[in-house]
Amino acid sequence: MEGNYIDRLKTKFKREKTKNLLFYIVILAFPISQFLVFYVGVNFNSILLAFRGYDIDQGKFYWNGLDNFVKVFNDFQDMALFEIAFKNSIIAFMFGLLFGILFGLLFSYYIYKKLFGHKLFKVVLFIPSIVSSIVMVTIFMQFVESGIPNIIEQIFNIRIMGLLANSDLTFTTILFYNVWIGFGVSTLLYVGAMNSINISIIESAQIDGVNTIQEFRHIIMPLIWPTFTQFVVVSVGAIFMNQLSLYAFYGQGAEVRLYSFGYFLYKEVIVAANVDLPYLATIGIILTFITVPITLVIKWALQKYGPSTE
Amino acid sequence: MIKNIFKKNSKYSLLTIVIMIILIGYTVSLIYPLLWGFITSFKGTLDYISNPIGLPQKLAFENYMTAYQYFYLTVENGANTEYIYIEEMIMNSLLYSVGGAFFATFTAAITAYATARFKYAFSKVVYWIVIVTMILPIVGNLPSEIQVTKALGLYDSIFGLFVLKANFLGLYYLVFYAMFKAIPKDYEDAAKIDGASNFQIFFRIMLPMAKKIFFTIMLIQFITFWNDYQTPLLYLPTKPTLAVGLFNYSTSTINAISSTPVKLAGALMVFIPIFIVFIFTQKRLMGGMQMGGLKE
Repeated sequence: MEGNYIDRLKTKFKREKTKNLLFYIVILAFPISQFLVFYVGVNFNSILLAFRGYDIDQGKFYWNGLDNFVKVFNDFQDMALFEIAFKNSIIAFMFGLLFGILFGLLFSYYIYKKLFGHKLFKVVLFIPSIVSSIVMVTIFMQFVESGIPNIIEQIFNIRIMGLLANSDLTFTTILFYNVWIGFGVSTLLYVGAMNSINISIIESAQIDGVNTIQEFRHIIMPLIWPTFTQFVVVSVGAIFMNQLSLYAFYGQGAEVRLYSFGYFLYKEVIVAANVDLPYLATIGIILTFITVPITLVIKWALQKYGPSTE
Repeated sequence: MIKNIFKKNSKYSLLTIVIMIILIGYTVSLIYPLLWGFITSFKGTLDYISNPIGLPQKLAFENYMTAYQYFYLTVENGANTEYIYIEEMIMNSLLYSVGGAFFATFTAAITAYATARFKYAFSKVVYWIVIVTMILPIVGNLPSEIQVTKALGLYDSIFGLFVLKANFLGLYYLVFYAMFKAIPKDYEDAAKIDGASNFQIFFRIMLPMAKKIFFTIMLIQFITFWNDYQTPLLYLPTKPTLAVGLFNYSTSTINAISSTPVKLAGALMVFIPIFIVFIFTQKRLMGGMQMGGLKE
């Protein structure tokens, strides 16, 4: 009798486990298949593409060993375009790191402290995140190209060129634009991280007489360091993906001196035929191999040498 | 005034005053061009040239009519050339944004639910896949992605984009994961005693509990997809969205839409609907998203 009961319990438990497993498999079937095809498959195919060529006459891909790599490395040496794209990508990253992250942190601190106008500033900082980049670029472009010169002429009676038309200022204006529109999400996440700091830590520091700079540097920064690290790591990882909004500004027609790798790859892929895909995939692989170790080293360094919360 | 602020409130210091000044400068630099763009879009061309800063002498609503009239593009569909007008672009945008946002959010939610609530070893693997892919940068896999999409017959199909976008990787998985992980097991046990199946528990208990987060993430995704012009430009050559239409419009050299006021009218025509959505949902949108979860 008791044995039967235990057997029934065992069967029920086993059935429950099978049901759970079945549910688990069914519910994860699509997400995992999607991941296997569009992440693992796509990236694996990217590696394969880098070792292939395309026969236009036969309409087929064929293996061509390291030919693509040789061509890309030769082009890296011979074509100014790649040197420019490399340099611009690095400058954009440094500019973003210096101004974007620094001001993002300071703005977040201000909002966190709930100082004068913090609600308004929070909304204003977020506006560029909800506006289409094409709308932002159109308004910005018309403003700096037509608005500012017209306004200056009317007020000072001086004719100046548009900021983008003036070749000395084009790249700086584009760098400024990218930082200018980029505070929304980072501010939200930094403020979120700051709000999760235990208020008693801040209060006890204030009793000890710390000023705002000390509070920001010695309390806030160490405690939000994981969020900060995540941002820097993501920015480093995106060095060669940053398009600098050039496609929104110029479509296919940006001047070579403004190129970043992100822009170059996107603009080429848009018009690429099968024959171009292996070459572009090879550039992607090479840039990934450059970026991955840098990203991992920076992540490690930020974690190891970041401020202590002790 | 500054002295008074210093005296009255110790929260203000030289640092916070400097930040305040920069923030005021930033606000002016952002709001002024938007306002200038809005006002200019109602000016006649001559009015704008003679009066680039002030209010319009006469409201030129015809700028919006011209923008509406020229807001089209041509696409090559096989041997035919088709004209796509704004109404069709709005439909494509709605389909892509609502569908894409729903599938992307739902995929993140179900994956997070399964891996947060079921203690199989594979759940840990999925969690670490998300963490690693967030750190590991993959540059330039677009050529391969296009090839795979074409091979699977998902190219130039809005449904294909739903599939492409419905992945669980990224921050939103972690937000759902933290949320589902925090729900006590008692809810599940009580439902099981009442005879609920796993599907019923998920759809009738867990998902309703996550509906605020679900809605917020879907809203963010909706805005992202609505504004996204690069993905449809690449993957939907014959089904342009409004954002693609605006891209085409803003780079167009047609004489009738080359003036600054008409260009701005076209841009604002696309901007205003999403701005209205933002005004009504800004509290939810900015309600305190965190890397590890959302504050309720």
